[in-house]
Amino acid sequence: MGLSKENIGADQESSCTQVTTTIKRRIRRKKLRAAKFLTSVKVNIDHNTINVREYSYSNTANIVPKTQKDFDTKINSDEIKKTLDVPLKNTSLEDRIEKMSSKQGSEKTRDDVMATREAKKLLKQKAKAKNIENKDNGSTNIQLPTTIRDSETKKNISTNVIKNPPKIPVACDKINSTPSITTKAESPKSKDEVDRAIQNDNIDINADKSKELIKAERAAKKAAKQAKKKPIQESGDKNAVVAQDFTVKDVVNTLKDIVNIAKDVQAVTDKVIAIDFTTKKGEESTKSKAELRAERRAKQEAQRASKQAAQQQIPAEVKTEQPSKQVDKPKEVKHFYSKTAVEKSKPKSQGMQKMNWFQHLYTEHDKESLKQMAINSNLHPAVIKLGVQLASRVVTGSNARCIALLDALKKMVRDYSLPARTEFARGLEAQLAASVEFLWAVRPPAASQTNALKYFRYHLTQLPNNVDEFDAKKRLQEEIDRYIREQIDMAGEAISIAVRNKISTNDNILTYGCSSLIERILCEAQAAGVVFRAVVVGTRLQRGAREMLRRLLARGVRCSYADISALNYLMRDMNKVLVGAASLLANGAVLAPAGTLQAALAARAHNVPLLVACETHKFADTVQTDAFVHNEIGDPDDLIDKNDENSPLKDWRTNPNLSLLNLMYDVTPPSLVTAVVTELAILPCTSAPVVLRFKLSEYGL
Amino acid sequence: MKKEEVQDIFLKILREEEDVSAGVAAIKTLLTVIENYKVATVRELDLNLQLAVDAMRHCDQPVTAISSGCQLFMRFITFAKLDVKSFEECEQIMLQRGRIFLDTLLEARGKVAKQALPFISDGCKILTHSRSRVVLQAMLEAAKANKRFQVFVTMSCPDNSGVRMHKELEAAGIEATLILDSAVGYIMEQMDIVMLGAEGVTESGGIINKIGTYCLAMSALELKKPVYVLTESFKFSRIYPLNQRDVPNEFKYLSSVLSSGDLSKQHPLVDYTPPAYITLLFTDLGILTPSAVSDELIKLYL
Repeated sequence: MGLSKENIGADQESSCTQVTTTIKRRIRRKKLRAAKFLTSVKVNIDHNTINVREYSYSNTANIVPKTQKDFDTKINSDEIKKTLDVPLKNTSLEDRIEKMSSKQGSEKTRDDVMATREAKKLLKQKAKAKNIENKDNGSTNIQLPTTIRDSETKKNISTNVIKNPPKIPVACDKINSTPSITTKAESPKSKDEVDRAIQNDNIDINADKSKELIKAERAAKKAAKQAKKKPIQESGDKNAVVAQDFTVKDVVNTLKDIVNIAKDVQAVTDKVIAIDFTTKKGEESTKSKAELRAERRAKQEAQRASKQAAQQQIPAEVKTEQPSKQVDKPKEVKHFYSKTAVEKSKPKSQGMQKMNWFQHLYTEHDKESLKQMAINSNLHPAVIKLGVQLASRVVTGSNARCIALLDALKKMVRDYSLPARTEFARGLEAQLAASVEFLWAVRPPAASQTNALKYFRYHLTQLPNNVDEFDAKKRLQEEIDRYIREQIDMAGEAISIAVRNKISTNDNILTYGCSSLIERILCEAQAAGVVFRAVVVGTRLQRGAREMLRRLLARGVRCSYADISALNYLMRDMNKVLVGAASLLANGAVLAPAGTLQAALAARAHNVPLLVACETHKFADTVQTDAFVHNEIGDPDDLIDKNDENSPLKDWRTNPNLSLLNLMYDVTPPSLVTAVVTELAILPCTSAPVVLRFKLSEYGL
Repeated sequence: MKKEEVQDIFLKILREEEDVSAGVAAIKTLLTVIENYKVATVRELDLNLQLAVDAMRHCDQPVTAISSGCQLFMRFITFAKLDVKSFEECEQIMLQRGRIFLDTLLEARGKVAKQALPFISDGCKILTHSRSRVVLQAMLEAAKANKRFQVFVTMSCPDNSGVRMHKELEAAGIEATLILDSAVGYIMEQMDIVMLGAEGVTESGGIINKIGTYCLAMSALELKKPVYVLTESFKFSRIYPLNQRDVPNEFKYLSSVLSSGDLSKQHPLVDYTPPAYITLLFTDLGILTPSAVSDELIKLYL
């Protein structure tokens, strides 16, 4: 208290002291009460919101002058996201409050809380059905802002005041200095400062109104606390409802709230990072935040769903479109409004902006799934290891993933202990389902993996009822071995021979990306003495292409490397294009790593025949005509050039106009493919269903 | 069994029987081989047949049909249940199946011709290339059914077999016109349909036919004229050319030319028409689209 008084300019002290202390006391009490409220939040939400609303308008008026500075500062979307991240549960909120108090003394806490409360109140305003009441309340208070606008001088004074207090180090590094200063300014200032500011306005306006303002403050605090649990969209909503007259103030308030919440969140994030067991980039902290926030939001949305009036949303959106008075911050708030208006209960993975047409492809980040795994789950360690390998993209490539999966399944079968009175098939099926669910959550399966699993499941169900455990295990493991041997090894050999017959002497063969099968074909052709030259085309993102190049060179294949941008230049001199595939679809389209379609188009443009080498176990009976309807989203940060320090994509998360999209696969239509080389025969692409039918009859799948 | 003997039989059949295609003659030869040259085991029989096919390949006759026909023949006769006690019985079974195969084959042409009948409408103009017995039969059938149509035949160098086709059509009372190979582009806009025969049908659904077919099919596609290929099913082959160069040399050149060594100055006899240029294939298995050829082939072979 005393500290804050000193920091604040002397000019305001005298007149305000008396009122200040009482106000302070009241506010302190309110705060404690509010803290208690939080523990039994749900019951009290409505009650609190009512209070909040009453106070909100007056409070907005008060807050404007203080946060004048905020208008000038550009707050990173990062910050705002942080602040808008309200990931913590009730208990943690209390911890946070305690932390706040422990951090910087009671005054700061109170100020913080008040500010946050104000922010929260704004956040919550629009949300409830009681917004109607809100409006009623609002109308009475509408005069306030006008009066405050009149009092320009007050604003100036408060800003001066703000400049003076010393900076108090805050845990959150990323918050812009200026806003942090403003918030810090608030914190060292005791209630006195705030009260004084309020009082300044009040004195100018009305004694009655001052009381209202005080009430408003209290309500604002409560609201802020409430709002901490709710996503920012509420603030947007609130702002929207009030927007007509309050846009500026709301913005300011929300700014303050955001800053405060950001601090809180950062503190919690640090804690989370400390206990985080995956060791990747710091983004994981944001992920955990996002995760928690998602949980909370899901809860809250469920609560709010019924109450939230549709019409509230529309005016909210309409009002948020008003750009006139709004500054950067409002833009960011608007951004979140529009998103929430879509009512997506999916978590924003890492808070990144989602592309319009790919919203259905975004899933929780693989690493989050890893974390969600229960500690006492009885997944086999080999399965968990595979999950980590898949998530971190250590194991890539259709064949590799298939073999890795079968390997893990083999180990699982080997170590499976049959519980008493359980049939082997049933028991193992249950564990299989759990393992598979985990793996697919970590990374969506490739067609080869789904087919392998189908095969395994088929043989599992084929086991006789009273089979001996040892026999069953042995048989399953044998089946797995046979699958790998026949479908992958021997098929690869057959395809290699077939393609070798197609390679004429002194052929120039172009291949795109990385494929274990293509590598095998080229190496074996070289070993068999066929004279040819290979060109490997890759992109900056694909480590695989360069790795394959290395391996080909080691085996003595004459090859060179080019970037994808050189495709058309090279294609003139090429005789054949040979690519691998992730899977072959039932309509004859080829699902392959992104960029293959590019190579196919270039080949067609230059009349170069395109051969796709694909074992029959990769044939899927799904149909896809384009790469939008079903795809996999990779890590967007891979698109950023690591060697370029001033990459314009570096801070893409903070830029609301920029999103990065990293699609993993693309679909090549059958019209561009000359032939598909399988172990059965060299076929036209359109014969894919024939092969599927054939496989069905042979393998009984 | 000697190579020359087989060749003699083969050439004799070609000489004596009228209007027999090389493929049919080859299969008749194989049947004769089974009948005349007695062997003790299935394996020996198989070897004999392989030798016979090889011999026929070096006869300076178009190899495409011979190769595909013989392969299918051998597959067909060995597809029977051969787990009988004695080899003689085995042989008899194979012989029987061989005869069935041949009979089916001989009827094939008639079937194809009948299928093509509804596609020849009154007053239509048909463009055809070189001499194909199947197309000829189809047109004769149509004439018998009192359809009025005009046929334009290319001369098809170097052997001018189109001239012979023209003569045969005129003799049957069909209005026929002989045009230069190079006049195909000029005349295409006046045509209604294009009818072609085939020496071989590839796994991709494309055809191998007399040189000049590719050009004709390309201009037909450009001018939106349907291209119908009339062929028997024994011409289905398992080769899959990726482009013109990828067609096996033994199809493109006569065996005598092949053995001479230098092919760079030689002119190929056949070319490959990719499936994109073909609308429909009329076969004794039915009317197929090019993509269905692979399906049929898999059924035949796997």
